[in-house]
Amino acid sequence: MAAMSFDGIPGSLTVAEPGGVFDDAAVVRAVLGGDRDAFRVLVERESTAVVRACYRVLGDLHEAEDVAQEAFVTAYRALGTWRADGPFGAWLSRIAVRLAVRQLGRRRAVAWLPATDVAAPGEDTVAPLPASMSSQPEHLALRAERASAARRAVADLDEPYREVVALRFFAERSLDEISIATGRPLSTIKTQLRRGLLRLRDRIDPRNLE
Amino acid sequence: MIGPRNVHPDELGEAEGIDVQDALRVGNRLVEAMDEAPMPTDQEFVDNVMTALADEPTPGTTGFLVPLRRAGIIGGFTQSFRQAWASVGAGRPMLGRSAALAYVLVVALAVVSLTGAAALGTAGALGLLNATPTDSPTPPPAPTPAPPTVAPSPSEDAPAPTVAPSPSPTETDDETEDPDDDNSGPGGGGDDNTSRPRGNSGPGSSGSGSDDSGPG
Repeated sequence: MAAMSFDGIPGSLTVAEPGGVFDDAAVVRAVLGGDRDAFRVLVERESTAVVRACYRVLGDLHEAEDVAQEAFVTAYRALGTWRADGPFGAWLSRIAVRLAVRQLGRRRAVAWLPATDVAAPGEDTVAPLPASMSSQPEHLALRAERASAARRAVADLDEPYREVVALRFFAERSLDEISIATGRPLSTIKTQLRRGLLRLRDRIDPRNLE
Repeated sequence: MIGPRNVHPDELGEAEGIDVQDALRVGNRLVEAMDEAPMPTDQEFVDNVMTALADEPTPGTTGFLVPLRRAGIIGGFTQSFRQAWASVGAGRPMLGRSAALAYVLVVALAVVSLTGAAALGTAGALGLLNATPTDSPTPPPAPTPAPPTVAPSPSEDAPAPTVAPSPSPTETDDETEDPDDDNSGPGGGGDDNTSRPRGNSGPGSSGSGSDDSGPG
């Protein structure tokens, strides 16, 4: 990725490191200095991850793109509050997951199908499929149904477990990044992740129902 | 970002036993459930985001001051004020909104003050504020009220018919027909000087009557 310079900013700026990785803090400084187009670098780099995280929460691509766009606008407005002590993407993912969960809550206020209604009692709704069957249409549909059951189960968690689980599995953030983005100690994040997963046990792993 | 990676026991803290095994199993199920095709976003999405940001003010607590720094106080004032006004709205950090609101209020106060000062200056230049007291105290020329000063009050004329003896109702009818006879009676008996003005200005006397009342 070529180096990108921002003109008109005092003391700046070439924000590409030798390895081609943009310096988040330098880009954010450029945006705060009035270079709005510098934000495009962050949008291009993070859009895939943000849309995917929103899609994993919502299960609808168009809705996920709308929420992802809202997340970018929200992040842009609050850019001055980013402390630059962690990856920009983790901070952005936290905003996106929050907005997606809120959007999911609005949608569920209109229509809600409990996860337990999707599968018969005792059926593992999130069990992996055999690799030989994974390309068949009916099994693709079954996979989508299981993914839907998983996202609904996570959405039913209480905070702060929901946020930690969603950031770890939907936004694919490391626990260190989650710790920095949320401002909580790493040990607390680990405990919340474990407790959140155990709360999902009855919804995702029916072998523990008995 | 770690990608779709299975849960490691280290991520679950210091717990041991069956809880850790269950959490690992649930976590790995979640990873498998979220394993879908990659979701590349196109350039249109990026353009849509940048279009949505086109009307947004410069972020940051004092981002509305950026146009002033870039274009100067004169050139960037309008854009700065517009950005500050846009920053007052919802969906932004409270600190930034407060700073923008303070900026808008200060500018509004300055505009009101300057407008008032300009209005006063214009009024002063036009002389509207130099209203000297020499004009107003000049009293209008008083009309010469010569006759009213000597005008008799109606109470002085009124006793004339009452004091006059009325021997019969028929005589009273005559008095009403000819009021000049009343004036010539008790009122006109004394002073000639006073009787003339009374006849000129009195409401109940006619011009011909006053001339007759004097000698009588």
